[in-house]
Amino acid sequence: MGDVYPWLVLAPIFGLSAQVFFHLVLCWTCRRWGFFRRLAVSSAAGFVGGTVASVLALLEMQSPAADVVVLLLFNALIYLALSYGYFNFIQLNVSSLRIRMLHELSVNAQGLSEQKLLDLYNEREMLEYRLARLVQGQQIAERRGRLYFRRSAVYAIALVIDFCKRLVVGRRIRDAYTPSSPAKDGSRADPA
Amino acid sequence: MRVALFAAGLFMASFLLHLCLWRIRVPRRQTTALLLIFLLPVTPVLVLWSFLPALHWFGIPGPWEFAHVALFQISLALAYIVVYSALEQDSPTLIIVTYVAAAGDAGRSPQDIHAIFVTSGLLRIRIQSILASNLAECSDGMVTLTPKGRFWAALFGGVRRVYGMDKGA
Repeated sequence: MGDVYPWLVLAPIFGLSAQVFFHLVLCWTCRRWGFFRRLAVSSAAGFVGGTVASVLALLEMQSPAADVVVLLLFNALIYLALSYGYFNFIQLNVSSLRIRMLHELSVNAQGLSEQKLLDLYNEREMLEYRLARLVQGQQIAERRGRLYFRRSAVYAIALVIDFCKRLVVGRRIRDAYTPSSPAKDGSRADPA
Repeated sequence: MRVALFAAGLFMASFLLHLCLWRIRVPRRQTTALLLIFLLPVTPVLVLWSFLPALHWFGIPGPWEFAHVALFQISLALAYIVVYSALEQDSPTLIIVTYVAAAGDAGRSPQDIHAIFVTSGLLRIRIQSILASNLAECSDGMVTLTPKGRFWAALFGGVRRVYGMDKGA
């Protein structure tokens, strides 16, 4: 496959680099954009960059059409997996309670008592923060104080996760809030 | 094309092994088990490729082709492990979105959503998790970060500064 194959291998990594670069630029230049919008746009930019790099390498390799299609899909899957990992790494900073606790402990070098740590948080405020983030990110709609379904990326993710949950662990997302179908381990939902 | 087919076959074999093992018994340390199941096969494949020319038939005749297979396996494995954490535990965001969607045109009030979450002991669970992971230690009733905890706090703090993000959560 000649000297061009390494470029085909590196194309998804180039795409990820492009995503990181665009995301950084958007975070500082498009502050009014929502969190998910910045990530979606940068992810799309990375996907385009990775695909262009893959196509150029495949054209140089003069591969048969079937190989071109399969290898493009192959690289697209690699990029999407890398991009998903990046998305989760970034969104941990805004959604993870444990990371927030680590931050609070790091700015209090003498340490904090468990009660002081608990006092830092108000569970109602945490949920309201999450709801506000979902509304601001247009993942759910708010009208006259009520929340409504909206076709969104998070809902699409929920459908995929629900299917995988059934396949792998034998539970569904709705088990967390359906009184007649409690979670098999007896737990209820708990804010992360 | 054989590279892609070989890599897809390797990943599917790892995934099927994972499903079979989970049906028998779910491991106590699930993330570690998943890392072993998905990433360990990459090493034997490299060893076999080095000593068995017959493996070249599968289309990984050189180090770059092998790197392509390894990149596919590692990236999809890590993505799946992230997904698995959402399967293992209930994500409040996904619960909220699903719960709102289930109401259809009637919608949900914020009070409805507050009511479906347990309101006691949750933060304690997170504190215990941090202590169990050796990210912090408790002495004389005070919780302080361990060196491991300071590393992760500094890493995520640095990420927040680079991206101009607030503290979140």
